[in-house]
Amino acid sequence: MAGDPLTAQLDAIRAGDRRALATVISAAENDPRVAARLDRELADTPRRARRVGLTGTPGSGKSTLLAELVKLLLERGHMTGGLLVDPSSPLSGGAVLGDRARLGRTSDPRLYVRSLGSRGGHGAVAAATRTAIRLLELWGADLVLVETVGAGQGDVDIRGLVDLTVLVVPPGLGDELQAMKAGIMEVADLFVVTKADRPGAAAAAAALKDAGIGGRARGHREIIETSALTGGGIVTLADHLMQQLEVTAVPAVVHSETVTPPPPPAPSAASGRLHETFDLTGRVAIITGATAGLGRRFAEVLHAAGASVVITGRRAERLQEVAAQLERAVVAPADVSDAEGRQAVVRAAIDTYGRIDVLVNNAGVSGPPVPSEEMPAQRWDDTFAVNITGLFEMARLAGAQMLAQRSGSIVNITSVFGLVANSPVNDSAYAASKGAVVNLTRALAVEWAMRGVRVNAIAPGWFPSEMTSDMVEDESSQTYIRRCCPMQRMGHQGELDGALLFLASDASSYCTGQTLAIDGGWTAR
Amino acid sequence: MSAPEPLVPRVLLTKSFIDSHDRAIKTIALALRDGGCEVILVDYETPSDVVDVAIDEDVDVIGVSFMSGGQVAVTQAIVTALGEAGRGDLPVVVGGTIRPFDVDDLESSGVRAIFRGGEKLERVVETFRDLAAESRRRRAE
Amino acid sequence: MKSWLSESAARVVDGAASRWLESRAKRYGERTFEATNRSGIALQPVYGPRDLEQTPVEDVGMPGQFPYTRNLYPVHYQYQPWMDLQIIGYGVATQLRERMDLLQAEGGARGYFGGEAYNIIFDMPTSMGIDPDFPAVQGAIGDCGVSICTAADFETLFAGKNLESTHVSMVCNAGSPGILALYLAAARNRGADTTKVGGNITNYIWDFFGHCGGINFSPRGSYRLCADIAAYCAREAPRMNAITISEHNICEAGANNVQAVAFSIATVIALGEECASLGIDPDAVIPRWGFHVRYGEDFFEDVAKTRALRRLYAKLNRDRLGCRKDASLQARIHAQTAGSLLTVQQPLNNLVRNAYGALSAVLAGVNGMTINAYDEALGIPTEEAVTLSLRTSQILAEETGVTKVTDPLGGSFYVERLTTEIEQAALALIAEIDARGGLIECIESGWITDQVAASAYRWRREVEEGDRVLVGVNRYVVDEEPDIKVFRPDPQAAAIALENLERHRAQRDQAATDAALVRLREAGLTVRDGRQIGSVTESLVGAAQAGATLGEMQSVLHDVFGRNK
Ligand SMILES: Nc1nc2c(ncn2[C@@H]2O[C@H](COP(=O)(O)OP(=O)(O)OP(=O)(O)O)[C@@H](O)[C@H]2O)c(=O)[nH]1
Ligand SMILES: [Mg+2]
Repeated sequence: MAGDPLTAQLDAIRAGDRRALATVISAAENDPRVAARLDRELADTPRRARRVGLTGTPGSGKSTLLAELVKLLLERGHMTGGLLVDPSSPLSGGAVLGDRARLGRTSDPRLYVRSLGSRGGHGAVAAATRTAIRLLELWGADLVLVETVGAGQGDVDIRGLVDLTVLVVPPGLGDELQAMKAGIMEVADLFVVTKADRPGAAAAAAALKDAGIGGRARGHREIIETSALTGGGIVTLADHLMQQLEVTAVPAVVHSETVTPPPPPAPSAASGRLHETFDLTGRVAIITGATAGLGRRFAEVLHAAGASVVITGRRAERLQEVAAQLERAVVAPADVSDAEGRQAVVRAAIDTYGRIDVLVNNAGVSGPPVPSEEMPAQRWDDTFAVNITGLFEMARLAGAQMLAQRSGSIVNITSVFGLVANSPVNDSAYAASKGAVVNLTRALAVEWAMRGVRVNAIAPGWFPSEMTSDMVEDESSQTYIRRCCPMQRMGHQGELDGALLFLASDASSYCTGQTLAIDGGWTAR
Repeated sequence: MSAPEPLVPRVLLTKSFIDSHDRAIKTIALALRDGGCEVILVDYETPSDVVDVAIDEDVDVIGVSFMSGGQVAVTQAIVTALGEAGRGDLPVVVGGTIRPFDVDDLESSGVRAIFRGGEKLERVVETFRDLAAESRRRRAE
Repeated sequence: MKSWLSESAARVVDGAASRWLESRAKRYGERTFEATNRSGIALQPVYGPRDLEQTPVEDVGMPGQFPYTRNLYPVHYQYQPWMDLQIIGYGVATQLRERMDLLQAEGGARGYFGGEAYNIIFDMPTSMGIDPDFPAVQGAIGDCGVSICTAADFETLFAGKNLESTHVSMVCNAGSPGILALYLAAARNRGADTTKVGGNITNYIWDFFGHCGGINFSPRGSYRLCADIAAYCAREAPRMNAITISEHNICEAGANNVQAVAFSIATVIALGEECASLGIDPDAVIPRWGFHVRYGEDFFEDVAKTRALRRLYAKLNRDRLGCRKDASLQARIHAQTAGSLLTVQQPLNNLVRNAYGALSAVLAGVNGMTINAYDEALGIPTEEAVTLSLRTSQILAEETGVTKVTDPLGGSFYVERLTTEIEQAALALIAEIDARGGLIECIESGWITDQVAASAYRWRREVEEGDRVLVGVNRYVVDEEPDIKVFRPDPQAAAIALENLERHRAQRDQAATDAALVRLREAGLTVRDGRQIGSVTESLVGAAQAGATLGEMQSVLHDVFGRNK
């Protein structure tokens, strides 16, 4: 193949070619690898659009509203993109994409509208939405409107893709409004009551006043009434959106008349780009037990691979120190054995970044060796509360978001002593809890295998950490290690990086339920 | 690029905005959905609308329904407009009330299939899928 | 509730029924012979006197009595035969007029009491309120109906006829308000007194779930306009039927009979409530509403749904809308045979289908009838086919003897029970619509169209799987289809229509037209606000008299009352 067709097409899009835009969006829809590559290549596109998500119950008037907004935005000179997401049938994979019918005629050189099937997104945003937004930006859109249907779980994740989430509410929504309270209503940045020409609009607006605080700014949300029939409220809405998006003037996007020639052929075959499958640009990772040691290292590694990280642990100031070294990091101090703490961590991730792609379940405890016949009951319970219950609950909380996204990778940190006995360093509670992690990993992996979430584990052998600090200096410990470990040494800092990156990234897309022992051969003999 | 994902054909189904009969087009839309296609369902005001939407939505096949007149004139206009837009490769299928005297003109305008009612849905879906696959192959070359 | 059977009669009946069960078991073993009809209602292999008990005695009564289950009149066809309305329409006014004259010569076009009657269908652009010079609609001009866009066109069509004794039924969609205005303007221009002009405007703008695929006003805008037309007609053209609720179209779109009856009645409720909310006395407008019902899919179900529709209409109009006048409680029904069941394959079979459909309509006691042409699935009917439709009706009326008794199926255990079952199922659906916030809400949320589309799809799947037989399509298929003569519309029609329109625009008093359109807009805004209901239609008639075209009036209305798409 001569040249790289994709690169040539990207150049064409950059020059304003809407056909190339249409084709490349299809390519991203049809092949997640293309989407991933585009996400990487477009991550640094200087052109950025303001993005607005419109969501709400079926028939609430989203498309009609979008049509009105588009008309106004075009009049105001905006280069506008519209993405209309409709649910795909889970059985056939097909979809009737009906939103466009509400838009009327769309033949305008400054407007590009595309209908997307959610393709397995359970009415949530389509997998390719993010990429499509990037492509629209490359094309020159300075405003992108995204319509998604539903008011359930799936809707919450639109937030990760847009700057502003608008919840569209028709008059006469009673029970549904109640049901939305917990999810989308909390995260909406703005409420629009549509069909204001109808009785009940004022009542709906009044009901929304009780919504309390929420949204990105964690404040009271504006409520705007609109009517497509009378045109009322549309200008107010547009002005308000612009103000919140801080668009003062329309950015001048100048397209060159001709398509620039494609650059010289990129290196062919897989070789040059293999590392890209390990790339985590744009992903969001939670790391538990990240105050020090392995956990801190995990956070640094994922961050270096491009991820934004949410780090948690019990000691807030230690976390701050870690975060200070990182560009994209959020600190959420919590104890994973505490239910509220766990929820706070997950909420922090969603509130800040709108999604969760990776969870590293690293927090764990152990104690001084003790013969089993003398193991205190409290010690047993405490070990399990952190090592298995805390880990399971974190997996469930983050997993719920991942399932809604239809994608995510959970990496549980167990131990070689989840695979073999730890005698003579007797700690049966530890061994039992780590063994439980190994099989929990399998159980979750199989349960979620078809729903886009992978679950794997790493079983490190002896590594220097706070927990093992005394061993490093201790001669008898070193003897023990030389005897049991075929490589006759402890692991070095950094020797888990590869395994972690592998399991956290798309590199392991076909791997789930596995425990990778990184132990110098400890469990091999 | 390596092995592509299974094909999800994208189909534009359209009829005139003044044609109020939509039972047939909706039934075909549902059948195509159940046959694994993504269906964009819009009305056109002018034949060039059809071309604009087909290009932006990157569809693989266009199906036009006629229940009350305009069969030949509109189809010819759509096919011509596609050609002018450089997308003469996009297969066009028509269905609905197609009268015997429409058939020759429709065929000579390059229509790829004509459905006059009573065809098995399965066969309709298959035709769309086949045309979509062919259309994608041709574009990939 | 009064009882149908005395105790002693019940004993006899029950004894007979149990003996019947025994003999059935003896002969056929376990088989029960249950079936389901189009609406999914379970059918027994035979019905008996006990089945009457499903129905309150007072709900049956005699023809001409509330709730009018059995008929609107004490005696029906013996006194007043049904009115035949063959649908005609193609080309431009002059061309259609030739056909109307031919129909009249054949003994068609007969209205009540010796007058003439025509059932005109318009081409799609006209029906939707679009002028022939709108970009890219030329291919459809005069193609499946007549092209009309000015009052002068109507004057041409009815030249020399006395419009006060001619019943003109106009089948049209979103263009209804403008088309009615053009017709009334033509009548006025011809010196007729509109209070004496009779006819029917189907006014399908209320329909967002039947025959509804095209542009229309916004749902709420449509219902407001319906009220305006009804109020205007009640005052200025009281013999004009202002709204036809088309059960037929809902069926044609794929709904089953229960859905179609329920959605039709829900429409009456929504329209009635709209009128009431605007201060219009329902008794002033409802007597001029009527139904268009489909026949030909499931024989006895079609009879029963008609009776259920009449009963529901009477009860709900009285109890829910507060109507007091008898005429407000009487559902007048125009029957049409099912067009969507006509097949392209073996088209002559359609003659037989139409005859059976027409028979069930007559046994149900409908007031008017349109029998489709057998070649309709192939395009617009040929003259020969139209004549055969007329003959079908004439044979039914004058040879078969079915007109000698009113409500001949009344008291049939099966039909009475089915009537009540359909009534109850429809009531349940109406309750669901209420629970979903009413009809307009269900339209706007898309719920109702989804119901219809799903039913249509299910029907089609049943045909595919052979569970539903269509002779010539999925059974008794022949390889070679016979050559059938097909009517070919005049390709010149578009050119003539365009020329007429151009001339019209050039010759009219433009300033007067413009002023009339401004007045129309003002009236529209007032009516949208809920005041001076009826003034939109009045301004439309004024604009039509001032030379405004259908499309010009329509775009003002669309601006004011919104578009559905
Ligand atoms: N009266 C009135 N009706 C409206 C208004 N906006 C939308 N509608 C109607 O509400 C219905 C649904 O509108 P859509 O814009 O398709 O709603 P949606 O939320 O995009 O629907 P889905 O994509 O199917 O979930 C349509 O019948 C519209 O005509 C309005 O401002 N006033
Ligand atoms: Mg929508």
